[in-house]
Amino acid sequence: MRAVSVEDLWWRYHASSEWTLKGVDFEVEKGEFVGIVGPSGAGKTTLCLLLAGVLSKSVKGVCKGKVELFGKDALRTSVKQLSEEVAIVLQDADTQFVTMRVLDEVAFPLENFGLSREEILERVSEALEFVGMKGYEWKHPHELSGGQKQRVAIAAALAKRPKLLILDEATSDLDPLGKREVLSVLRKLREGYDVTAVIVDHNTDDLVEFVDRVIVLEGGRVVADGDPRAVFSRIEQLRTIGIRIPQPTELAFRLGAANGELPLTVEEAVKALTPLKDRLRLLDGEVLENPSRSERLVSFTDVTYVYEDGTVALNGLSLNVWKGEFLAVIGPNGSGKTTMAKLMVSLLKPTSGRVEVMGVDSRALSPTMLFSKVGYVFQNPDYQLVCDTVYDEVAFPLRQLGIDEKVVKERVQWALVSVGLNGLEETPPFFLSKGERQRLALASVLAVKPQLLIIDEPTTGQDERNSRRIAELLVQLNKSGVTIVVITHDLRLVSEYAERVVVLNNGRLVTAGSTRKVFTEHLETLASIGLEPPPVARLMKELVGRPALTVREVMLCERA
Amino acid sequence: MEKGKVRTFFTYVDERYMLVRAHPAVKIVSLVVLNVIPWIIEAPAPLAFFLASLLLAASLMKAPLSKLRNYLPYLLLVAQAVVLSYVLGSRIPGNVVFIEFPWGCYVTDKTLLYMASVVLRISSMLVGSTLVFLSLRDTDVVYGLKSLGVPFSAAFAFNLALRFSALFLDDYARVRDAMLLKGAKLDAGNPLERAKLLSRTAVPLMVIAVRRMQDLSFALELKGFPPSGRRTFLYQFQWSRFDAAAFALLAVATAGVVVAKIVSPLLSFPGWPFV
Repeated sequence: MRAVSVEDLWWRYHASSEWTLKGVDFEVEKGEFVGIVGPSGAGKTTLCLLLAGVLSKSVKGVCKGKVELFGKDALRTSVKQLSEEVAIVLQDADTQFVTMRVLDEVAFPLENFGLSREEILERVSEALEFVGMKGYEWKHPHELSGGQKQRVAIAAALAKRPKLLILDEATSDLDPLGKREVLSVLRKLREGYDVTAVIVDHNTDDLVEFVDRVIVLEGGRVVADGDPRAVFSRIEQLRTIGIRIPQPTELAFRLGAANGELPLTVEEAVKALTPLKDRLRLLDGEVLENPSRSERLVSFTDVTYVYEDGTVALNGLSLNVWKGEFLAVIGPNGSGKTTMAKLMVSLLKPTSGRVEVMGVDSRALSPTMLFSKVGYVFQNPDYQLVCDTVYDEVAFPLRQLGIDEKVVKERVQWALVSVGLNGLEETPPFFLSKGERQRLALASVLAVKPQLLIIDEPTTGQDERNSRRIAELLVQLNKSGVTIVVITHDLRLVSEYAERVVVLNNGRLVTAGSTRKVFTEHLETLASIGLEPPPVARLMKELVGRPALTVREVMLCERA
Repeated sequence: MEKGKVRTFFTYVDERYMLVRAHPAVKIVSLVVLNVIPWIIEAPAPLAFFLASLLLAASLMKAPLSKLRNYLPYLLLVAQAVVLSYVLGSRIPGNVVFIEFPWGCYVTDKTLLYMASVVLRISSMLVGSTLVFLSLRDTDVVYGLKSLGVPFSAAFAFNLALRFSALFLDDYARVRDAMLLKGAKLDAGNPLERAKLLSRTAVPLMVIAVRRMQDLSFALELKGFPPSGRRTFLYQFQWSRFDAAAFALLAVATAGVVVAKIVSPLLSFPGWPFV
């Protein structure tokens, strides 16, 4: 039976002259799990909201074509009617919570549908049990981790017993542990729940594990639709579009181990690559050494930071940031990463211990004293954009320094060219895409030419092309002498670009060392706090007993 | 979260605080009454008595009075503004003139009394509202307003506005931090320049709020809000003896103050209206 039928679907937002969707066609069978991938701006979220029936009724725009959900015309049926059959889980869990308790949150739609109290309580209990959140009924959403919040959001969706579940980048903002929690719920759904699912995700490594089909959207059009193996075998096309290829698939493709069927998961790749094991074993022992560093830029000495509500964010942290290094700070949510960054820019002062920035005690510093030397880019660029045009945004910190307008102009140009936003000088910042806004926030920090750049989650919610673009820009900056500190959950980014890794958990330093050392010798430690190195590391560990950090590295090694 | 604590809109409070367990309607009515009474009373002595009674009642109800300390700086700021405006810009006739300014304004004994009244009135309203807000949860707003006859959709929208005001404050703190990190001197220098810089925070705050509201409206619609037919209410609040006593006390206090204001000059400001 057909669950979803989309025919020649076109959508244009009222304020835009461009069509966001341009004749999208696809069908989803009942019980099928379909993944939708595509670069930023491809129309994925628009498509999800149209499928849920909410966009065409709530937002001004032009819509053409047909969307049928279980035989109902989704573009014309009321949201109220559709909402009993369709549930959607959005990227930002906080936004979709409308109550202050887990129980109330899951019960809210059921109360609106007028179910009996007994049935509501039964369904709530069942849904919370399913997502493993039983016992959390009286918790406030703020008391939950990111993964728990999304599990509650899924429970609220499942309690409605929907026929169609849509997840729009529901795991994008989560740390690896949170992602794993949500993915395990999806796996369970796949096995024992009568539901059809449409899942949008940038992370194809995870997606391929539980979808029956993958639809690739680009520029508002479906450019590929089929079995994940068939779709991801079009590696060159997908890479051009800017879609992340699952690492096991990419590695097998590059090693020429395909024989027509590319592996999608680590397990499949182990089987497919076992015949090449001997060649790969030749690579043992190759280690790219990191340059040694001796000049200290920031030092933490036995630093503790306690927030007003009593939360101990850092607990006796001691570490150094060396001049010229590319450092990644990783750890689960709430491990103290952002607090550490805020101490480095003097937004916070240590409760006890000492933070020295460029040799000066941070207690004697302020953010305005440091901003020309230490730059900080937030995870959400929207907090940092306060001017009317792109040009003014980048010029803002330079003008605070009282720099001559001629020099300001030169620096703005340089910064905009560096991030690839030149030509957009007169555009209002909020007219840019999210990827562009992120690069603009980076440009406005770069313009003052800081010695140390701290960047919080630069690739979260970004497509592969934007992620690479930002990562490569950071590498270039690092090569030009800027010290880089990246706070991230993206361990693929860390393994490909970072020179050294600091691992935090519960405000304490778990381990620190070269990326290779941490990702090869501390796998158990990482696993104990819910961090898992990228698939290629696990794959190579399985095959040759030693993890590799990147696909490229394995290729390099094979040639050697 | 510590054991025995309850999460309310803006903080955690001890569940022994009696107002936390009160019927939602009592909380909403308290909020209204505690703002109306100081508005009716004008004279400084009755206002001081009202404030003292309020604090005593709060203490008897095991209210977390220490939390009021967090709001003290704001109260002082408002008091400062009131004092300045009355000292520099009022012409209240009195028995003794302490100082006269070249621009025609002067400070008399009545000015000081009137100033004290205004400060006490604002303090009472702030303390009263804070004590109620410390006990308020989303269900209290929704069920409380609903039991007072407000339609569910309106009650829920009001509750969302309160919930989002906490998020808005959080956003403001982030934007402010971001401005400091761009070198904006928000804490020093020319007040006009600082005000100009601060006004820039409006742009991101507005954009973030609009985006959040849009996501929220999608989420709400898909959760069947507003309900088109009969809606089930999961909780059933019962009236306790405490609720009945509190309700009666609030009614008597309001009626008493209204009657006293009409029949006696006790609650009015001495010498009002000034001519």
